[in-house]
Amino acid sequence: MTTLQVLLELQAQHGYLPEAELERVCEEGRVPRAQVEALVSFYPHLRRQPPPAHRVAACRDLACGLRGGDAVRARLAALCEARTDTEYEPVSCLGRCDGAPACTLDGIPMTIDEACDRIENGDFDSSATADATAEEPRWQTDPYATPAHHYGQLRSVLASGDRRKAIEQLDASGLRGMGGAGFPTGRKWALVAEQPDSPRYVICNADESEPGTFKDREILRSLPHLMLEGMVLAGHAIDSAKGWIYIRHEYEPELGCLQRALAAAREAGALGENIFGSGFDFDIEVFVSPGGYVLGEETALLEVLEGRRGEPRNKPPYPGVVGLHGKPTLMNNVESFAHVPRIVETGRLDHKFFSISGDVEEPGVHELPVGATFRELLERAGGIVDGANLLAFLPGGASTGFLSAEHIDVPMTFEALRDAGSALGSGAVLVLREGRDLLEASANLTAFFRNESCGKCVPCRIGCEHAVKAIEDGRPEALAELAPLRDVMVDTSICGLGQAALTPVMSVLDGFPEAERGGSGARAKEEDGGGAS
Amino acid sequence: MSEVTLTIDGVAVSVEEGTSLFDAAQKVGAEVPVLCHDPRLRPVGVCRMCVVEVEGERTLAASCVRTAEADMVVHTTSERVTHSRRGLTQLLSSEQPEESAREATTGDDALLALARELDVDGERHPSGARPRDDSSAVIAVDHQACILCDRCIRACNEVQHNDVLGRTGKGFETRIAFDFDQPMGESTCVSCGECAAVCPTGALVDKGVGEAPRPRAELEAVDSVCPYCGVGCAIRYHRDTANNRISFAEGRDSFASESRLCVKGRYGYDYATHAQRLTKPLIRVDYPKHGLSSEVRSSDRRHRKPGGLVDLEQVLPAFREASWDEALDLVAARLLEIKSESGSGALAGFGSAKCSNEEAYLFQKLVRAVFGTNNVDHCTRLCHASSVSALLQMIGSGAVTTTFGDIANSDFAIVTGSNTTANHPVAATFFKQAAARGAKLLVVNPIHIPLADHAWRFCQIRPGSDVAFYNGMMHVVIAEGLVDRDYVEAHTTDFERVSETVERYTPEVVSAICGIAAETIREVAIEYGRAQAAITFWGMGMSQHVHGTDNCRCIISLCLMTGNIGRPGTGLHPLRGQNNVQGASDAGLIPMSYPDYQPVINDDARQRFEAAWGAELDPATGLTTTEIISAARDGDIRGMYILGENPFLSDPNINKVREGLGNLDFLVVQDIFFTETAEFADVILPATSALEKSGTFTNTDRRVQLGRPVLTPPGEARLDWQIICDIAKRMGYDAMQYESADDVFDEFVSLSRNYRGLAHDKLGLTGKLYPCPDPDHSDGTVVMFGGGFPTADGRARFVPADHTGADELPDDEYPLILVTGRILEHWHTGVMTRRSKALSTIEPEAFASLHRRDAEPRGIVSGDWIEVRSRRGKIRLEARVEDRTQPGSIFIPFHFREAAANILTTDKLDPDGKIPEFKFCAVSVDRMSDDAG
Repeated sequence: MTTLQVLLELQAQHGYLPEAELERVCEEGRVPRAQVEALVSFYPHLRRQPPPAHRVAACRDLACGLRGGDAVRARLAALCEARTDTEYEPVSCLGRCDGAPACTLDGIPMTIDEACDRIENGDFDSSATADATAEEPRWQTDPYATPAHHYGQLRSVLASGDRRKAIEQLDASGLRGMGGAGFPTGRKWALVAEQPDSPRYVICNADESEPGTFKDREILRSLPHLMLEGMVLAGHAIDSAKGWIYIRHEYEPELGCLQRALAAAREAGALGENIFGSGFDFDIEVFVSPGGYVLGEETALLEVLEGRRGEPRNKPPYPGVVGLHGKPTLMNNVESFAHVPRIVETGRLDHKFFSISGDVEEPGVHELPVGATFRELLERAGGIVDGANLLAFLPGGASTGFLSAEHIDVPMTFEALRDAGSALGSGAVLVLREGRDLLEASANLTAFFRNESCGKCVPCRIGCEHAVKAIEDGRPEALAELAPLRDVMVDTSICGLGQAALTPVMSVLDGFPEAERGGSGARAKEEDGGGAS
Repeated sequence: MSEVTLTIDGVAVSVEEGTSLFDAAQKVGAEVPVLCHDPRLRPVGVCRMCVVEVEGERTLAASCVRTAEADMVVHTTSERVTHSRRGLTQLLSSEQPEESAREATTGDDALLALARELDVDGERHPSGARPRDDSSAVIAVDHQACILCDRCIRACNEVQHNDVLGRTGKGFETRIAFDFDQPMGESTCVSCGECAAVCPTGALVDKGVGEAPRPRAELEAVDSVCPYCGVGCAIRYHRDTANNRISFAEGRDSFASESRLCVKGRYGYDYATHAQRLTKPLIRVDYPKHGLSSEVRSSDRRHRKPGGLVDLEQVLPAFREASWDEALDLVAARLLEIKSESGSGALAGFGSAKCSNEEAYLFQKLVRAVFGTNNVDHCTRLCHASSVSALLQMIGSGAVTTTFGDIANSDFAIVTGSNTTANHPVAATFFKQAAARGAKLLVVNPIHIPLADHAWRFCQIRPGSDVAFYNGMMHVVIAEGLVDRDYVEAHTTDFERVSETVERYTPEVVSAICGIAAETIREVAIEYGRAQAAITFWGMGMSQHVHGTDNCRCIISLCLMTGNIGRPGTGLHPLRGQNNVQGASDAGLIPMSYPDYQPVINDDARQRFEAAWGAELDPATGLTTTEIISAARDGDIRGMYILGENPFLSDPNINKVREGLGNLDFLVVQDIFFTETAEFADVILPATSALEKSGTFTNTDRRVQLGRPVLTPPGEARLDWQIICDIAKRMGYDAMQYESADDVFDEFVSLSRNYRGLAHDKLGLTGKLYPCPDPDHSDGTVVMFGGGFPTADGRARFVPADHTGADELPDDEYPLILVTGRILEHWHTGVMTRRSKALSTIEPEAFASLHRRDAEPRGIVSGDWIEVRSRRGKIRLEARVEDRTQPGSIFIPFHFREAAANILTTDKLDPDGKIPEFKFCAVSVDRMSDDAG
């Protein structure tokens, strides 16, 4: 067990990390204190002080901000302040943008309004918000009519014993990584499969944390069996016996769904030893993230699993060659794995998941045919709130550039969005109606990256901080510093966080004449708890 | 290893596969700037300053962490690269404090230099104030100047393996932190200074000893050797010539120390310029003789002030200043007088392992050729005499069979009876490094020493149970069929004698004696027996017992029966304590042999040296250190010359030493300070420190290195080798006239097979490992005895040993076992280190370390004053309840004159090595009432 796991267990046991326990960990495990300090101070989930009776974590990021988050957050903070037993903490995106402005109360997700009401009423009963989904959507991606049919593709692939088929079908489908980077999935699988080293590992990255991104959450909730089937198929294709699902700790309700799906898979013989009598063994372990957006970066994630600070590694080598514990590791995101069963059957990718939030009537997760346009997605989401006009949208999450309303008919594909000057990214679409201030919005996004930077490399650690300051400053000479800074950060940051951090703000400065940036010119205010001051 | 060819800045270059782009760029002469990378450290690629452009890649690549690939086209100065370098420099610079502490001191802030080179606007507007931390005695921390390059973290954790430094926090708020983010001075930092040495900015900077370091450019660099322990670290002193001061010191590259230093070497050099240095010869006027200072008259008082320095007002009135001529004439006349009255056997000399080979050679030559006796010895008697005795008896050579650095080739290492992190700190870094690499480190020690925390297995044996423990290991090795039969057959004799003896030592029997579970004994023995290459290090915990020679015999036997000698990564290495204890013995500063271990009782040898020295030599073995003191008590030794030794504190049973020294008719002490021993002198001669003279020192590895003068001696202090020669001349001996220390070395080498081929001008900056017959083309010999041993039949001889136990066991009156030893910050009798500002600030006072189970029943808590008594005396000092010792035993360092541990120790000797049992005697411990003292 790594020191980090020991600390996480202690945290689970005590609710915090008592000083005496930390000393004991160091003494008995012969772990340097500095190493424990490095971990405890890095992960927001780990705390040294006893927790109060109740804890509220409220999102400070863009999707919630667009839904009036700032005002209700102030009210929530005041309510908590008035109580001695309730701790209030502004946090990064919780992945509940469809319930914006979102927060968690004692770990349970809800809107900030609901949390305010409950705190006012002293109603902290956690059982009240049990999974209360009325109707289950029917997803095209799921090839199975009933749970009894689950894992049918796996069954047939194992029966055939063909380890190449899945890779060939993935190649044929053109599936690319749905986590943001868009690397061709078939090529990735083939690369890991051909590594001479073993053992090999499969990791499902269920740590989506970029503001506005929550499609994987929905898949974890309603289609976990597809993701699991994809993982087992991956294990079979690359000759691996062990997989991990790395899930963000804010997805506690979904973790329950996942655990049930895992149990069902084991029950069905689709997971564990001798799967479907084929002689193939594959098992999956769940690792709950100790928190932080950067941990979703594939090599940072590996560092966490190996028990260190989640700081991205220098690449190359890539995880497919040198991954977990130095072994070839196949890592895909939740949606990528979920598409695998149908693709193995058909060799085609027909649908894609999007999460849409911001100024739309019905924010949520939608499944659209591949090639559908932004306009179609917007229509699925009920259009812009109050029938307002579209100002701009982020088609692929906080790491992508804003597109103006003239791009409303852009197909939501890698190629089309690239040609339009942005990217498909994580499939997280953030919509801003007319009247919004784009610079303020991009300031919020830049602050998100600043808040989530791990601090390992110079350009990201200092560059994000300076960028936030320059945008706050707002004077033309301050804003003029951003373009050269962006070049440095893109060229020299270790990972995508620093490389992409200034993408939204630069897309506004470069792509929108001052008159079209919206807003009153008022600059974004420093968010409370927004990191450094 | 295959090569790859790539193009860098238009130049095609072939490099070994796996080479970084940074190293490849250097090969074509491309200067790539870097802040986080250092050739001694694992590359991490966090500063990004070394980015280069690789054609066809989306982003730039950090060259320190990027491997060269075939056909890469790389640009190190493209516009993109330059833009990024300047941008990064600007980002870093803007967060710097107004003043760089590094620029203000040593003047070598790498970030500032880079900013100047790139002509980057140095405007400062730090975002928020980061704290300073002034809590360390030696290093100033300015978090605002930190660029998070992680050099200090890697230096602390991966070079020195002290594991104190890490990152704390996340993102822009990240800082470096000590332990649980404590102030540096309150952390477990051991002040080795490696972090400050590698820091590129003003974040971690040496405070300087006495005054702040000055810019390098204004100083003169002198490459020398550290004057402290037997590791012999290569050191560079930066001298403020005008003020005759050392401004700062740093490690320099060498085979032995790889630029590492410890707190003593890096910060403990200022003793040489201490105000108490002796500067004029002194002649005693106050008779009859007795101890002068209150501490020397009696050590059982509660001392009044920390620091423990002699009060010169108490001692100087007993002396008057004299001219060199008067003093030397008096010395020669009195020694000759005693010689003519009582014969040569009434004279004796103590040289010192702190002196150079040249001085040791001359001193023993003086005693043998001029005094006419073999009564010459030095502190080797108190440290490794028993090791040498066992080694000579069994393998025919007293020196180490391999270097400590050879542990890099071992998959198993035993470190026994050695608190290496305190006594050979830099050697310990290599041990810890081996453990981190995965070598199985077995630490055997009755005390929970820091190295135990790096061990694969730590066996905390009961004090004095070493023979049983190793016999137990041998029992298992034999029982498990792990004996290297071929080796034993080919290279040894008398294996049966040992196998018969150890048959009785089953793990169960041994467990009852040494307190280690039988299963553990089995496990460590089996793993040792299976090791490909096992190396063994030991220290004074093995040697300083009445069964010290037996202890060493056992580990030598264990090593021989498994064939762990004569190959890389194997061998026997008694870690030598003083900087020149190996060389002093090599030079003949021991009563039983001439230089090169040629026995004085051997007629051929004697005749050879009589011819060489033109004098008739005493055919009988002389007396050893402790025997000389006893003989002085008895009146058999009447006159003594003591050079650089302080037996009053270093020898066992001080009350006896006091009588012995006080009973001498004539004592001349040559030293740099007024030592406790000097209080009994008739004449005191002001000598020079290692920092003021030229001479060679042989480290624990057998590496002969040249020490170079850094400072001018104070006042009338004279070079030691010249003083010895002056005395010889005045005693009527003409064959000791030399132009320089080089000449002395040449004469010594001419009489030594081991040193053959060496000369001062052949030693270079990193010395030579003897035997080194061809120093022009070779660094010397690492591994000895691959093909046999320097014994009559070329074979090693097994010598069995039975567990006998200590001389004085605890009883009702004296229920606890006292173990004496040393601590990191102090050196032997403290003469040097307690006059070092940094070292005495970190550890100002005497203390005893107890286990809570002994402290609690006596009502003792840390900080209490306690009285420790033995059958020989009592001392009073502060208690530290640390649980490092085992219940039933306490540890007291012997450096402190105000609470001299050797008041308590027994002077019982090992019959072969004549070493006293410093590691075991019975004592009682009581808490002192608050109004006592």
